[in-house]
Amino acid sequence: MIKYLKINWILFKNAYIRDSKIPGVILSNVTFHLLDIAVTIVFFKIIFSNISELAGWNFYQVLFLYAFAKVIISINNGWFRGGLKDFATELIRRGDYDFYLIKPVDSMILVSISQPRIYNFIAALFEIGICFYAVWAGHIQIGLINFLWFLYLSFFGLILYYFLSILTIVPTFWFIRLWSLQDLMGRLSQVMRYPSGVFPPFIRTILMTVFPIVAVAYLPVYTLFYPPKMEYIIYIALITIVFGILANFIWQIGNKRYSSASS
Amino acid sequence: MSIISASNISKDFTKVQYGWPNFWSRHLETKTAVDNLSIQIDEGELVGFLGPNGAGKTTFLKILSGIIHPTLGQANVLGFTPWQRNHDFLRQIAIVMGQKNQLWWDLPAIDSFNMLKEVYEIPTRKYHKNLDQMVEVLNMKELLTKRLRNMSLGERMKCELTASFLHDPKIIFLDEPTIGLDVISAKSIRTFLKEINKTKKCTLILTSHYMGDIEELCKRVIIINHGQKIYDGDLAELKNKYAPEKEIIILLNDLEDKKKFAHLKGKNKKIIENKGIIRVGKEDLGLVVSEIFDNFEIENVVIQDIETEEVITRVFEKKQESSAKN
Repeated sequence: MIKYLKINWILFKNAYIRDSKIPGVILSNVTFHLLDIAVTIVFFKIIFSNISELAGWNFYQVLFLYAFAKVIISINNGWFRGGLKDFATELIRRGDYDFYLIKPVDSMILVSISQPRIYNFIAALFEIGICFYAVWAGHIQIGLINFLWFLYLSFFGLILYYFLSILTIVPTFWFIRLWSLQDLMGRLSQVMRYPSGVFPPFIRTILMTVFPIVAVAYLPVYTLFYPPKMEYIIYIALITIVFGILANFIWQIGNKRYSSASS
Repeated sequence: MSIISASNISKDFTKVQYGWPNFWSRHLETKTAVDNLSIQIDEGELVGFLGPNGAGKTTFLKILSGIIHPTLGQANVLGFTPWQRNHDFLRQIAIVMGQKNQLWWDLPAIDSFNMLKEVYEIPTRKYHKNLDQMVEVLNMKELLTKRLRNMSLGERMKCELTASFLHDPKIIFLDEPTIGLDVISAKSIRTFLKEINKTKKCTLILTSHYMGDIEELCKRVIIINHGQKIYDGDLAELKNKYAPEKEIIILLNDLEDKKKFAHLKGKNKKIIENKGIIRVGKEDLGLVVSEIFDNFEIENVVIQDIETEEVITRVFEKKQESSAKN
């Protein structure tokens, strides 16, 4: 564990040095990110000017859920997306994955952490700010127990999102030219912004069990606003472990399938 | 004692193709890259793998280093099955590929080295000792703070080699380490490899298309073609077996020299510009040489072995002939 933290630290340090030399990259990415958030908030405003609740959630609760989902996505993108994004196009197709396989570290983790992006963490700070604003402006009362359970569920949500990202990218081992996979998680994560009640029962079941992307943000935020449900608390830990084992297992099968591009 | 032992290794690559007009029917295309290959390599050996493009050299190296799984066969490298990728095994090997970078493209070399220190869990003292040694031998102090993307190919290769030796690997797989390098850089890399093999007693497995690399570094060569081993042994013996004759080159200064050359004994004679080249079997060598020394000045005469490239070509030709007969 300490080894991975040290590797992470070096990579972060270098990402910071690299990005700070070209501040325009950070500035433009953060601006684009904030613009996206602003447009979505306007979209929510339009919806809530016509209705008072969305699946029983008011505007500020939905705003909090949206901002919290963005925090999870931004932290994951900052930490892992850079490496995973290049996985199909660079590492597998060109055979650069060879060098990850011959290192005495977990290849899945090394690929994931290989290219951190600082601007995503800066964007996450703004998104945390929106969360605070939603609580303040919506006069949302939060108990200490709710908050502690929220932190617990957020931790699992963060890890669950990572494992789901792995599962969307891992078919690259078999389908080398399926580059659209790198955008799949971005598309799927759009559903995280809505309370689960907005989805029809069948879709909701799928998004909570088969591919539990909705559980990532919805369960922690629900626990923050409403009395904590023990089944949610157990469920998120359970699916995180199950999907962790599944992601790791399929990755190992992929490693066996890996044929390495010729030199 | 064998540090690498591989028996009956085969590797097939299967390509699945879908296409019109039969979209739903799969078409499987299988290519055998390595075919029933067995080898034994002892500790401290410097072995060269030779063969044309697509012969299976790199695939075999990747199997031995654990990058890919074989279709069939067994291998034992340092007491481990390579493709199980045990971390204790991976800590004892390194691979250098002339056409790929293991170092991080955007990072200064020293940062990549620092990261490898953590990846391989190299003790700080050992890391600095090895790094200082490599920096001195490869004369690359000024490269440490340079980003990989700003380096020339030769500079990059120096850094790749440094990265590979930081953790004191017992086996180093080198896949065309001098490809694309100029003569001076290639020479310095070869000198370094020879030195490191001697001082660190590590086993080096090398593939290269450059005969200079093989001749200078490897006593033992393994020739592969179509995934099959066609020769495994001493390079000098290979030359004796497939090209036992010598090549005599005589500098022809004037027309008189050319006339004398035309009258020399020996069947295989040719003149290229002002050089007369004659090939003589060992049994006639004494006779022909004394005749040459009677007619030409000694400083204008060079006697040498047949070039290794030609020897290898002959090996392939003989193999093709024998397989055509069968």
